[in-house]
Amino acid sequence: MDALNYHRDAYRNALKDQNTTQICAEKAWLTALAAQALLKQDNAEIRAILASYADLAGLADHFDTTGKPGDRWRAINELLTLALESGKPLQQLRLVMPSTVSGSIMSHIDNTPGITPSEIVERCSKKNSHIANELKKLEKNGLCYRLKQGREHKVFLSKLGKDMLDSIKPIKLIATTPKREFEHANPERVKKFNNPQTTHQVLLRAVSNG
Amino acid sequence: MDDFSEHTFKQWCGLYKRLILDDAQRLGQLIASCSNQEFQHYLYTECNISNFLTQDITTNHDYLNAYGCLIQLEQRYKQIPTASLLHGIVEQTVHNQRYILVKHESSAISKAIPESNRFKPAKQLGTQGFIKLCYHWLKVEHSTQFDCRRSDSLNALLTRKHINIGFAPLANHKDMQWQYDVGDLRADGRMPFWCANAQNELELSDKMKSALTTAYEQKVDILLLPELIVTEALLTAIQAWLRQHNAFEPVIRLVVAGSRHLHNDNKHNQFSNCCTVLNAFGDIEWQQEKRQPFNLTELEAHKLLNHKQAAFEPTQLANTVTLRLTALGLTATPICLDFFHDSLWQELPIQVLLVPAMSPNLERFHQHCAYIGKEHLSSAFICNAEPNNKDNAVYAYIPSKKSKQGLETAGDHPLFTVEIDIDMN
Repeated sequence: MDALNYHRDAYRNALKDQNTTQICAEKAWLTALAAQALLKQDNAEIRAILASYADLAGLADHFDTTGKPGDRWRAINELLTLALESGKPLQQLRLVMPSTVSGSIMSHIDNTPGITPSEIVERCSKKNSHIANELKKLEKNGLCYRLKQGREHKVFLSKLGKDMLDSIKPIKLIATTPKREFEHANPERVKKFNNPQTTHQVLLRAVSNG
Repeated sequence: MDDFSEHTFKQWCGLYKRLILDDAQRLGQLIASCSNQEFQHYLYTECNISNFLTQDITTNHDYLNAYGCLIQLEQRYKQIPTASLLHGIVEQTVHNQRYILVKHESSAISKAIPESNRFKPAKQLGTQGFIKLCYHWLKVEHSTQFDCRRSDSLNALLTRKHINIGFAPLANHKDMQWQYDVGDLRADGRMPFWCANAQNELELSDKMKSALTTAYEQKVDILLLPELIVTEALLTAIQAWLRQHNAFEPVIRLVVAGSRHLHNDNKHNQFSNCCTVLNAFGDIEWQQEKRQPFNLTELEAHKLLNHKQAAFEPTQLANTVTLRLTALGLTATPICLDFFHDSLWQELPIQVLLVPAMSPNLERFHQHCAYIGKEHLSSAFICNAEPNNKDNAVYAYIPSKKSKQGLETAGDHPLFTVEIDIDMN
């Protein structure tokens, strides 16, 4: 984020000095960074960029003469805001991956609808605060639903959560040919056939005999 | 592409009305007694809203199924980037009644209050508490116009942990020039009165610049001024100061520049009491006109105007409610009486209220702050035109059980400040 603030300040200074070349170069750099954050769908990065670009629209309105004043920054801010406040499929997918803590929480909720956060803590062997944070993330991303019943909070999968879990379930290959039993076969020959080494030798002999 | 059409909104509003506005008690009881497996089933089940809207919802199964449908609708809506996140407000008319879609959520200020000190909002108490919905359809009058948009002016707070709010109660009613028209007595025998100028505009302008400079040094993010102590010339002076001293290295993000009487050129003796909010560059970020009338008794008029005749503020009462979605949450600037007399300000889940006031004391404001804090977890910051008494001049309220009498403000004339924790995550 140091680079972000460096380029933001460089843009400000270029506006102050009315250095047109520098203004264009810094504008391009800052725009590209916003595009990268949008592609990565990383909330923290989007928030940092929004904070850093907060004043650019107003500043450009008054001092930028290289294009439509301020409109670029307003458009970027709007795109980033929409991305920040809406669902992010990539982030949702990251959260349900089985290798992550949030992913294992999701599978516990799937197996036990209405599971309580303390039960999840027990099953995942993690600290309370860790599970609470992960649950908050899951709920914020629309993957689970928390309901208060009596004194307890119960956690359920939302429809989106269920769909996401289903989408990452590994495809199982099922052998469809049943194992056949030959009641009247010669046991000696069956034994030889089932022994891969013997089969290999027979095949080799057959090849060498032409 | 998944979309949210007008038709879907209408169906959502219709189902919400049927299920929550008309029958929340029964639904709450059902949710409380529903088994986990059943509840999970209702959250997954594909719903057909049209069926619920055309047929009666009578059985327990119907109720819970329709509730699952409402949850799915709001969760789908949360996932989609919609234009209403940036501009405008979603509204629908069902059975000739107007509704708007509002979101109840914790603001950055209330999230920073430890959970043990935070009030439970009314919507989370009792049977209502079981109906855990984030979006609500709120009944509104047909004539009210909403000017609701996003404002990026406080985006710089997105990576911060504190916000600094400054109050500059620079003057009171005695510092202003008041005019009245005895030849324009209305039906109830009242004459119009208005604020024409400052007694000494130059002196007040210097005071304002001094307050702005101190605010800049104290790293104030939002600066509040009181009601009716600003004139057109003073507003221009504030704008010029912000452009000159704040634009390139912005510290002050918003200036709620009190309010002033603006003359309606087309009508004799008609004004609007207008609050203007300026951004870091001195540009107008939004404006709000007063929505409540204000009257003076004969005695009060005699004190203020030196003329014994009941008077009234001849303002054109605004139909428009201006709301801005900022980094702190839904923000508004009701003027003085509007804060506690206008029912709309009470019903809307506005998270931050910045209030310019001109009132002898702030007692009614204290009471109303407690009300909105419990109802919507709102925070309120009031700057009153009473510079000589700190207790009557400023009031900062956050919905915490520990700050029943408001937050302690620091500093001295011309600027009081308060630092408030915020949580942007």
